[in-house]
Amino acid sequence: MGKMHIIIIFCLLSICLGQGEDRIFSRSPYLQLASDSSIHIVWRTEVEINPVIRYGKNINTLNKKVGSESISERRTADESDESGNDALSLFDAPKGTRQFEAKISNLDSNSTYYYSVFDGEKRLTPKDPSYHFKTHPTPGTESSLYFWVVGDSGTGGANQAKVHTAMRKYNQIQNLKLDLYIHVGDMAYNSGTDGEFSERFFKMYEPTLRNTVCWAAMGNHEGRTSKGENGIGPYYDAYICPKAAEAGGLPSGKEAYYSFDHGKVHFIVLDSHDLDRRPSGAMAQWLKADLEKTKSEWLIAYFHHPPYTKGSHDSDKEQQLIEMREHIMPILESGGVDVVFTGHSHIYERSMLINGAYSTPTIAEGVILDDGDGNPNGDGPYMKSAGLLPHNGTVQVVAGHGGTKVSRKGTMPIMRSIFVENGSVLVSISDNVLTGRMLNLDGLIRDTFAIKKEGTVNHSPIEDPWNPVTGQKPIKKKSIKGGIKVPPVAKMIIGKNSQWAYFFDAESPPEHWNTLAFNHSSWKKGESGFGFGDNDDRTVLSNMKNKYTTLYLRRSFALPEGIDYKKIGLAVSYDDAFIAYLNGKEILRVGIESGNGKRARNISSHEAENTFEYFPFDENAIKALEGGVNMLAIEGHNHEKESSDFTIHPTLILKK
Amino acid sequence: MHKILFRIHVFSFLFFVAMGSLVTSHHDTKVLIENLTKRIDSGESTAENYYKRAIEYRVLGQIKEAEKDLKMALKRNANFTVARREMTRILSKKGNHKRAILCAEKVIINALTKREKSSAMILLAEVLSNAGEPSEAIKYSSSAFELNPNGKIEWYLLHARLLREMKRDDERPKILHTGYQTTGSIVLRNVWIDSLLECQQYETALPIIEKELLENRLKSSWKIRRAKAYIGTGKINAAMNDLRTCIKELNQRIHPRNPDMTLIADRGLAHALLGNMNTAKNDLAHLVQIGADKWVTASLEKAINSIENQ
Repeated sequence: MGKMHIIIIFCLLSICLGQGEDRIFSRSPYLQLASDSSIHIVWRTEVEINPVIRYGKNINTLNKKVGSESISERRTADESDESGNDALSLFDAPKGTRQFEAKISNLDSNSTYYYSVFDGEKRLTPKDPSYHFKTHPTPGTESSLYFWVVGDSGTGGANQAKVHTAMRKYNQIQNLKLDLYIHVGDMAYNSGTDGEFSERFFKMYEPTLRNTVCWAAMGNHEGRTSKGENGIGPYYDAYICPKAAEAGGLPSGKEAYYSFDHGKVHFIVLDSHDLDRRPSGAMAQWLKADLEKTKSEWLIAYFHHPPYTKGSHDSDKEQQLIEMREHIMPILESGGVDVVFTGHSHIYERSMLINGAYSTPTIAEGVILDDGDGNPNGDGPYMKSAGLLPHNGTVQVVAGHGGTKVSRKGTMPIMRSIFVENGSVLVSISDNVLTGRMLNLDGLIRDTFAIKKEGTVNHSPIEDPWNPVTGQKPIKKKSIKGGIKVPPVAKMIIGKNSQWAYFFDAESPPEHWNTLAFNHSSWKKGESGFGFGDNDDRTVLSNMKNKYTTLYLRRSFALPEGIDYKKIGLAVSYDDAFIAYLNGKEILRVGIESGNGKRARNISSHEAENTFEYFPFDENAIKALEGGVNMLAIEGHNHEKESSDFTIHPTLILKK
Repeated sequence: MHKILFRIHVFSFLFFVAMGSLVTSHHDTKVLIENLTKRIDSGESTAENYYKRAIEYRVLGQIKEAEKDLKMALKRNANFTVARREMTRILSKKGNHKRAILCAEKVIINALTKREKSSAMILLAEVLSNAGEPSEAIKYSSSAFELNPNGKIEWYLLHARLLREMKRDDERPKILHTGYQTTGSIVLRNVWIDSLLECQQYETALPIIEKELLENRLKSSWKIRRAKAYIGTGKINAAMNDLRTCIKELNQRIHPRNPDMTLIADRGLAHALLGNMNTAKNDLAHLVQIGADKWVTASLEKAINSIENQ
């Protein structure tokens, strides 16, 4: 036999043996439930083996061993023992499946170990440094942390794979290593079955899961087959979650919600899907007790249903989302939470620094503590007091863009950064700074925010914060009480009884309704003035009383050539108040102290009395004028729904 | 027998899941409802599709529509347990107690295993409790524990609550301690300590309270507990000190406009124990105004009444 033959036979043998190693695992080894002194390694086969884990700090010397006597074995229900013990039966795994769960204890904290899975003396995993784990630092000790946040990924499709690859490439280029991976739910579409978990989660993330613990929160899709109440289903087969405070925090008694520590960071994981979300529920009571106990310096909470979103879901309209905001957020913020990660809504949305935004619908006025972009290279990081202080500000991150189709319903007013594209979030915590980066599926960083904790920081809520729709801080128009006597008119640019497009609803009007580009063809048309009562209205709004308080008007106009802009002004007959916009910019506010639309506050009472008041254009209004076509938009407000009358009759005049 | 039943359940469950999967490729709730409506209207008016649509309606808070669909689902499959459980909860929440009780009784009849039966009995106990029939409710929660001694956290909490409603407070510590030992839940441990204080078993409770006060970052709830023990053992000054520092901490944690209602309840209780009855009543009124559960207001109400009656 020549040398060439020997080489060919050796290669073929290697390939066959290699395939054999791959094939033996129906789920390749992955890490679970780590602490500062222990970790779990889980894997599946479809054949009998004598399971052994060998491990050590040197890849060449795996000098420690966990034998089969210390490794629990679980099988499909029809093959498990007669006791029918739920803890040992796999819910719907293929017949013949054996799931091995090895707990390795007495480890050094914050230390890297290499491991290999054996069948007796036969090595099943290759001698590859990627098979390793790192224990957590001791709770309370100083240590940096770097973790990956993914949500709504489990399609098994190309975009999910791209998001994963982008993270791996980014880490390789930056020479970074994940300490842990958090998944905010929906990791196995459509129904979180055992097969879907195998294909769309374990197979997809295999190279990451063999050396990084995924700490999961249950999504609604997993909730179709797994139940938080009894901890049974493929989700609970896949994960080993701490229910007895094995990794820090307080024992929840359930795998559905739990907490764990990593150095000075405390993580809280909730089940927002199928458990009682009320403050009286067991989960909220546990949460409160857990928050009282932790002495960490950073507090991160995550769960599936976002308290704030306008992505593929709307947190102003859906029950689970509303309850997480109204019931759970007050507990988290009074406990000093720093960041909340969620999914469910297929989008990336990241908030400003907020506090106390529990009302429905969500409004931004008075709940934003810092309306900057939070970017260290932009407006600077969000500042918070050192340690955990109640109501010192939270950043909300919706990371439901991990692989499935992304979409957007509107704009959540507390958000600072919104991207309708697939991606994930990478978070690092070092010393007193937390930095979050949204990495899209093409490997580009699309958003960066940071929180810095130093000294004592006292925030005051901002009444007119940065607006994500306009992309700027609102120009604060001072509300005025009324106008002056109408001067002699040279020309009516928009005359009395002109035709306007109008819209009324108990809800807010569509976004950008006051801009020139907005298409109002679906709005009603009518002649001014608009209103009811007092017999002074051309278009009578007979349904307005007791139903709604706000009317929205639009009308385009062109300016006569060669006029003096300083002679332009509005002459309006009104009852009770109004805001005027020119080409999307607020130019006049009469009788409304703050806010607009549904969020307008402190509306004065005013009678029209069949007279017009004049409001000359100021510098800002003149600046808002365009050559050619302009759009004048007015929102008229009634003092209260029960009011006996309402009038809005705007005209635009050129005085002599 | 166990294996066969398990197989039947797994099979029917997976069938149901597969049916669900066919119609749920979109994740937007409204789109899901539209898709399900199309399927139902085009002849696939199965119990499963009605059930799926009911769940989506419930997510949107459209309870009337959810109830209609559950009715249709049960009309097509009277043994559809998941749908019947859902219907029971909706009826009970609506205050339609008679129908809720009937519905829960059917869930018990349809239960195949001990585990299902015990869980169904707890459902009926919840419904009876909501209907203001604690004596009937407690019979069912007791039966559930007989069938399945390894009860869930929520079962123990319900049973303990029913014991309180039945004025059998002295039985609470035992069941709560069993629950704590069985489940390891810290919530049961804390409620057990509260029950010890109510039963004046201060010697057992105090060492645990002292330990928690040493270890905890936020101490208000433990200071209230210790103050109760101090009051019970005649250490009034020490109790007053605890209550004052507790209120100070709570005032920092309570958001002025949008408060965590459990913290207001704690503050009201601290004020009541301090003898600041008007302030305690203000906190209670505030809780009622913001729609707090009876569970949240009950202990405060009880404390105010008992102190006023002294």
